[in-house]
Amino acid sequence: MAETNMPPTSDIPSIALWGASGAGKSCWLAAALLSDPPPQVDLPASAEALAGALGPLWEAHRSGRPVPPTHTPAEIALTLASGHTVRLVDLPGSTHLGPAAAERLRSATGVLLVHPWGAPPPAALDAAWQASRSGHCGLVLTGLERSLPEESPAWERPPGWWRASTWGQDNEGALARFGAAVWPTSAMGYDTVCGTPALLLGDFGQLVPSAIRPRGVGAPLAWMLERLEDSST
Amino acid sequence: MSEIHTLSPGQMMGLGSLLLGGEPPAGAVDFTVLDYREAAPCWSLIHHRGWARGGWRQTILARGRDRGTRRRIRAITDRRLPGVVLIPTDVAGVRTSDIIGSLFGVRDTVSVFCTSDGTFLHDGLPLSTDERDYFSSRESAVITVHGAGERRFEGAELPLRLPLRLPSPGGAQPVVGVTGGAGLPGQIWYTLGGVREGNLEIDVTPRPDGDRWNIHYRDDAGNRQSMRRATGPAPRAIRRPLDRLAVIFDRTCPDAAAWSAARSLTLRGLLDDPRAAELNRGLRDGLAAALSKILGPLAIPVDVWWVSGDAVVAAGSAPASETAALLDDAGWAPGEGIWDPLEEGLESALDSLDIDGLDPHGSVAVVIVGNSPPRPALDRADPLSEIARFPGFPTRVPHTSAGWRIQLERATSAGVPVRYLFLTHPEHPEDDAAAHAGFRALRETITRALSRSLPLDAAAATREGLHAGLRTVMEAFSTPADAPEGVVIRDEARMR
Repeated sequence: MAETNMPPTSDIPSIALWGASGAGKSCWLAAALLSDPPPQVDLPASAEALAGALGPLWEAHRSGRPVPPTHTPAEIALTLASGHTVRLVDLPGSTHLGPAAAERLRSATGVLLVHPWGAPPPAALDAAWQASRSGHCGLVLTGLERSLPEESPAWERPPGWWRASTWGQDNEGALARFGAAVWPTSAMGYDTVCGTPALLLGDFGQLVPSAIRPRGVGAPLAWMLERLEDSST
Repeated sequence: MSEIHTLSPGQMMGLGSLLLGGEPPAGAVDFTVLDYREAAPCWSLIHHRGWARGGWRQTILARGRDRGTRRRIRAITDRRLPGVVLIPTDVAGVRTSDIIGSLFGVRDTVSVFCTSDGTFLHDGLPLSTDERDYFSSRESAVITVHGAGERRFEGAELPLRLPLRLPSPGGAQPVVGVTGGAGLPGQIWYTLGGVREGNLEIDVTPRPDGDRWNIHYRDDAGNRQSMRRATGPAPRAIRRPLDRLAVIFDRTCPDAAAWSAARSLTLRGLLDDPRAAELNRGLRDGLAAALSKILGPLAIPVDVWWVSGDAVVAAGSAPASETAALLDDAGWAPGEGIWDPLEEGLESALDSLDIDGLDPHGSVAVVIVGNSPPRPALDRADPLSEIARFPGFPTRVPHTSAGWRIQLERATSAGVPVRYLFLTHPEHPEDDAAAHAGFRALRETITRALSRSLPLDAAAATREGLHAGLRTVMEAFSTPADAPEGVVIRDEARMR
C-alpha cells in the first residue's frame, strides 16, 4: 500500500488497523473502502486519497495478482460526508506487537484488529487488544468464505454468531471481549454460479482470488465511523 | 400412441391363427394390422418369433394418414404381407375394409370387427383373444453373452437385462459379445464406455427383411451409455506397430530443477519475466530427444499440441526425430489456475488422428506429458472435482467441461490408447520444504483423480526422467494391456 505524506495530527481522529502478518488486513481495507464503502464516507472527496493509497492494491487483488505485504505504516485521509476528516493508519503486520505499534494503537481514537478466521489468535492480538482498550475497538475476522457457506446465517451477525463453530467456541474468550464488535468478512466472497469461495487453486497449491465479490467487508468501518462521529458531536 | 392400438398376446394369437387357417405358426411369421378403432388409423407389424415374450411381438409402424405414414406403409405393403383390418362395428362395413386394405396393397386382407366391449368378430362369429385357446408357439431361444467369461441363457425371452461391470479403467477396452441361437441374429460385439456398473439390455427388432439386434448399455437410471460396434476379441493379442503418435504437451509444468524459480515467479506475479519460458527447457529438449531416440528409427510421424491456460495450440506434425522445432515455442507458461484444457487438446488430437475412420484396433496413440488436470465436469461426482477441494474447502472452477470423459470414451471406443506421462518434481535443496510438500500432496490428489479415468506413468520432470517415462509409455502402447477385455456379468444377472 502506498504511503501518504500526511503528517500525524493529534486533533484529527484516527482509526488504526493492526493484525498479524498475512491476516489479509490490507486486502480487507481495500475491499471495505472500494467495493463496499461505508455510507459516512464522502467518496468524491476521498477518491484521490483512496485511489493513491489503495488503487494498485485493489486492482492486484481483483485480478488475482499477488498483493505485497505492508512494510511501513500507511495513512489515508478519509473525508466524511459530515465534513470531518478521519485518518486511517494501516500498521505493518507482524507476529508481535512492537512498542511503536502499541503506541499507535494507544493513541488512536479507534482500533480495528484484523485476524484470519480459523487461525490460533497470537499473543500479540491480546497485547493489541490491551493497548486499544481506551478507545473504540473491534475485531475484523477475515477469510470467512473458506469456512462459512454463502447462505450461512452467521453473515447476519446474530449475537455470539461465532459460537456456531468449533473455532469460535475454542476462542470464546478472545472473541467475546469485543462484544458485538466482531465481524465475519471476506475480501473474496463467493462464485456467483456455484457458491464456492471465489478462490482458484493455483499450480503450486496457492489460492488465487478469482471473480471476487467481497462480503461483509464494509460493516466494521461503518461501525467505527459511526462511533467516531457520535464522539465528535 | 393410444393404448387401444397395443394388442395383447391373445389378440395377436387370435389374428395370427385367423390368417394361418388355425395352424400353429412354424418359424418366423409376419403380418400387418391396420387398426381403425380410432379416428387415426394405426399400422402395426405383428411378428411371430421364438424369442419374443408369448411368442409374439408387435411393432407399431405409423399412425394417421399423412404422406410420411403412407410412404412407410407402402414400404411394408410392397412386401405383400398378409394383413388384418380392425374396424369398429358402429362405423364400418365389410366392403369398406376390403377396399381400404386393397388400396394399401395388403395381400389376403381379412376384416375383423371390434365391438365396443372389445370383442373381435370375424364372419359374424366371435374370435377368441384368450391365449389359452391357442397352441403355445414359443420356441426355445438361446442367447450367449461373452464377456470376461461366457454366460448362456436357455429359453431366453427378450428383452433380456444383464447387470455388467466394466474392467477397471486403465487402458482395457471393455467389450461384450452377444450370440443368438436359431431364429436370432448372428454374433455381434460392442465396446462399452461410461459407468463402470450398468445394465446391458438385449433385444431384437423384428423385421420382415431380417431381424436385427437392439442392444443398449444403460446406467441404473436408464441413461444410455457409450457403445460402439467392435470386431470382437480376436485382436486381443495383436496390435499393429504404432504408426502415428499425438503428443499433448502441458506447458505449465516446469523442469524439476526449475521448480523453485517457477513457483517464485508465479507467486510474485512475474509471469512476463523473460526467464519464464526457459523454465521447461529441459522438458522440451528431453521430450524431443526421447521421441527421436525411441521412435525415430521407426520413422513415425508425431503430432504435437501445446496446452496452457485457456490455449490449445497445434504445433504441427513432424517425423519423430525432428520434433524439437515443434517444441521451440512451448516455453513454460502457467495458467491462471491449476486446470488446463487437456480435454480440448485430446479432442483436437483425436480429430487430427481421424480416429473415427479407424478400425477398432488402429495403430495410433496419444500421450499427454505434464502434470496438470483437465477441466472437470460440472457434476460434483466427477473424480476430478476432488482436486478443487484440495485446500479443505471447495474452490472455484472457472470452466467446467464434460469433454475429458467424452474424449476418453471416444478414444476407447476407437481402440486408441491414451496415456498420461505424469511428471513429478523431486525436491531440491533450494526448494521451500513445506511448500514442496504441499505441492507434492496436491499432485498426489491429481494423480489419484486422473488414474480413475486413464493409465498414468510417472516420471521425473527431467531429461532422463522423460526418456525413461516415454519408453514406459511406448512399451505400454505396444503390449496387449490396452487390448479388449471382456466385461464381467455380475452375479445378480437374471432374465427380465
